[in-house]
Amino acid sequence: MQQRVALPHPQINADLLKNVLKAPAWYWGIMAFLGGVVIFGSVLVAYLLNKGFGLSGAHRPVMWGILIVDFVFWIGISHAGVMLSAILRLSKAEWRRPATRAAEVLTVFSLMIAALHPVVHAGRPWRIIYWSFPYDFSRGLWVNIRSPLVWDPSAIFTYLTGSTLFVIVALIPDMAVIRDRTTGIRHNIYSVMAMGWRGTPRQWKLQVVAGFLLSALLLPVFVSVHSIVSWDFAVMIGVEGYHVTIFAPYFVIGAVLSGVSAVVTMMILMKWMFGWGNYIRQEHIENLAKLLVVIGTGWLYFFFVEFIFALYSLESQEIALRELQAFTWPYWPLALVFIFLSYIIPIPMWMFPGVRRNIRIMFWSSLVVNVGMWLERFLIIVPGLARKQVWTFDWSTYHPSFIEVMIVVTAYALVFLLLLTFAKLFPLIPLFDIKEGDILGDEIVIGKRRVPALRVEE
Amino acid sequence: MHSNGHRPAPAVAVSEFTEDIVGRQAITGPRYRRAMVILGGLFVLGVIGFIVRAVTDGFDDRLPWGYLAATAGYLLTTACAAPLAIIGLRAIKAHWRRPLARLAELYSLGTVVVLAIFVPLMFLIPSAVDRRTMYFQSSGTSGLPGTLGRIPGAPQAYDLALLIALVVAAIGLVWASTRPDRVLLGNRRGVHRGRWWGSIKQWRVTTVGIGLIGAIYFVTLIGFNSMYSLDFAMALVPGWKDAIFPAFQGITALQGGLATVIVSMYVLRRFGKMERYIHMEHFWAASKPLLAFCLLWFYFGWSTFIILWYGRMPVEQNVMQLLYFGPYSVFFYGAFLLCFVAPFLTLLWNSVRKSCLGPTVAATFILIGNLSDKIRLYAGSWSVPNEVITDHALEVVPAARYPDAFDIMMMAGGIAGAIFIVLWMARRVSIISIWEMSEGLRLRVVRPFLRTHVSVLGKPE
Repeated sequence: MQQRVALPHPQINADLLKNVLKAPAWYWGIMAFLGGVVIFGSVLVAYLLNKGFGLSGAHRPVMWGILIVDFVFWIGISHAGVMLSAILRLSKAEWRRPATRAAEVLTVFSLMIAALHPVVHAGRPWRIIYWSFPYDFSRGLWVNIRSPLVWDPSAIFTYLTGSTLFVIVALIPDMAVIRDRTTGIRHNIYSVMAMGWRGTPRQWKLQVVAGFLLSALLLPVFVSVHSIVSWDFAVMIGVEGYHVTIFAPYFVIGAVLSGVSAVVTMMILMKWMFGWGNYIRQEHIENLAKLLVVIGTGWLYFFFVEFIFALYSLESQEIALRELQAFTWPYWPLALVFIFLSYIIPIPMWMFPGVRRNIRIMFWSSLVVNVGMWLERFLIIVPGLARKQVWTFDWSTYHPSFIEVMIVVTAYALVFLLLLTFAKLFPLIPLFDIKEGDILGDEIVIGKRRVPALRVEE
Repeated sequence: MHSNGHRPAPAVAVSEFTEDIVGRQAITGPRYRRAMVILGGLFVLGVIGFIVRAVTDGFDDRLPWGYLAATAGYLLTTACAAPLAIIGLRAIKAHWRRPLARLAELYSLGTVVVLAIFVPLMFLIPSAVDRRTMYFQSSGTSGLPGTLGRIPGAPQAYDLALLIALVVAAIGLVWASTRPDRVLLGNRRGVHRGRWWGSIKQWRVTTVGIGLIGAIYFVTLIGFNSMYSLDFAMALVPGWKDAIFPAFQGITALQGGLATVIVSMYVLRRFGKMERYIHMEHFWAASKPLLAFCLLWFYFGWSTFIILWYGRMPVEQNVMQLLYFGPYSVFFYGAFLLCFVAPFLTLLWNSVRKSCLGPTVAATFILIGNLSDKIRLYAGSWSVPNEVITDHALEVVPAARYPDAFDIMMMAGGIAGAIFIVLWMARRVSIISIWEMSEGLRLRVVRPFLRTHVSVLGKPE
């Protein structure tokens, strides 16, 4: 196994700020490509808004298509940040250190992108304002606070605000490092962002306390966001397969599986792209894989219970919906791919240490989990609407249009573009966290063996 | 690091610790004897209560047995669930589990009491034919869609098989984790047992074995809790379809199990004179997941409540009355207050968490609240008459049946029986795991760091 190497702090600074201080040529190439995709996607969105939502594949009765699927998917990815950063920070897991910043930033960007999807899906985005926010107090026009469509933006914006604060608080010491290594206008900007950080004991104490407080405060918000998204569906009694009590934790654990897998993919990409082998080591990926085995198995339990309880009621409509999801064209191949990619292939593989330590296999296997999880959301949302019901006089299956597909592709491109932009401005691995890990690391001798150890507060 | 300025507790020598624990095993104190007599007496009372109930009410009607079903549900989510905390902590190599591990694992033997209660209970629930269960079977005449053929013995036989597997896993877990200590204690008494001599291979097999059996116990307990809550509660109430309910029972098991460990830890420290090995840090560490489980209790409970309440479906209205606001509302409010509100408000404060008494008080709230919850769920569902359980909806909410003297005797007897087994076993193997503590003592040193001293904990791969 690749062992931890205690590096001198100047080298840590140099390694982790390499891209911030001088980006390589390939970086600009990727940025240009992603920028092109985003511009093309934006043009298509503008065209869709101009001509109307009829250009999408959504027609009665399936009015929620892949834009809503993608919305749920990106909300899921956003659960990576708090899962890794807050929970592992509170539980003082040492191996969290190189993963936290990337996970937090992924949270912020995926939340922003997620929030765009319903806006586009609305067809006339300006209407969102008076659906979600009270706009005319004097005439007694209030939004319906009992509607999940109001709960959603409240939860998402609370989470976005909290997550952004979380990123900023953790960035302050690193801003000061960049401030001290830049000149001119960049120096001035980083000076403002470093907020007078000098690294005094009091500042460190406040920074640590703020980190812990934000972790603890964000945890309930983190759970509430995907729960509320799940209640968009579950409080609806008119659509079969939606009115299920388990949806909230089932969505949350699915989101965590999806988010942590995305972090694994992203960390490996960072290791390859920026040459951070000394910081993102096998042990980190291995520990994340172990965590994923536990989360994945928990998710399987919820999936199993959710599926089986639809049959438990012995109601013919529920059984017909499950038949549609699992045995009817075009859904059955998707269901098969979904369950194989989400669980059957990756999770048993990750039980073997050899696989967990193989970076290439981990990259691809973590990637396929998210393909599977995207399909899971599709199979939850679309077949329930597509099934012929008594009071549905117009029914058909759903085929996403080219524009919808391109919007989904653009969303991916935009998240990567934002991540790479962030990587140019700030370090994607927290400098101070890595240095703290080095200081806390130690060794003890038992018999003839040297055992890695950790200095802890008791 | 050490913001409070205190120096970490000095390291205890392994030999000193071993001699202390081995010495304690040789003596039976008056407190222990008194506790055994009281617990044994309560257990006998429970058996008497059971016999009287069987003679006076028989096994034709389910209603009088609701509180016994609640007792089994309670034990499954408290005593039997105590090892879950340790199994999880062992998996993540948390050092602070060490003084608590044996105590928690011994509680797994409470499954024997559950088995004793379960056998008569299983004759009180109807077979799975023509009603809503996980077995999807019909006689072919009921017109129920999507059913399988007849599955003989469902659901009782399969639940019983799962419970027996759980008991076997519990015995296996205790056997495997106590083996090195049994040999050590045997050697000290001059009785050489088994083929254990502590070779590297044996240690490896033992630690891997404990991990594996622990995982099996974990999965089986969660599985049995799911099946028990479904077959012995939900399936008895028409219109009650709550997919989160088995998982909710899993969460109450994690919460109740940890609460059991904390209360037992306090008793052991206070009355078992274990202050040297069980410190405030153990309560502090255990209080954090306990706080998280309190929040999860609320979250899972709320996830059910909001869907039923918001949906306003006619079929779910009487179910809500039965479970929340109707005849058993006092037990619902009790559970809500003691499983969530009180422990949450207690554990919210770091100064309370950072004490021995604070987490213990919160854990006590939880143990009482858990009992109230189980009464709401099991006594409530067992009060629904047999004739209506195949109906589409619960048309009439049955009246509450409050416990009589025999119910209380059976409940007290069941709980006392589980604790009796733990104390009885504690005389045969030490209540603190000698080998696990010794390992922990070897992996911890106190070293100077800058201008202070810190603990350095080894984390072997």
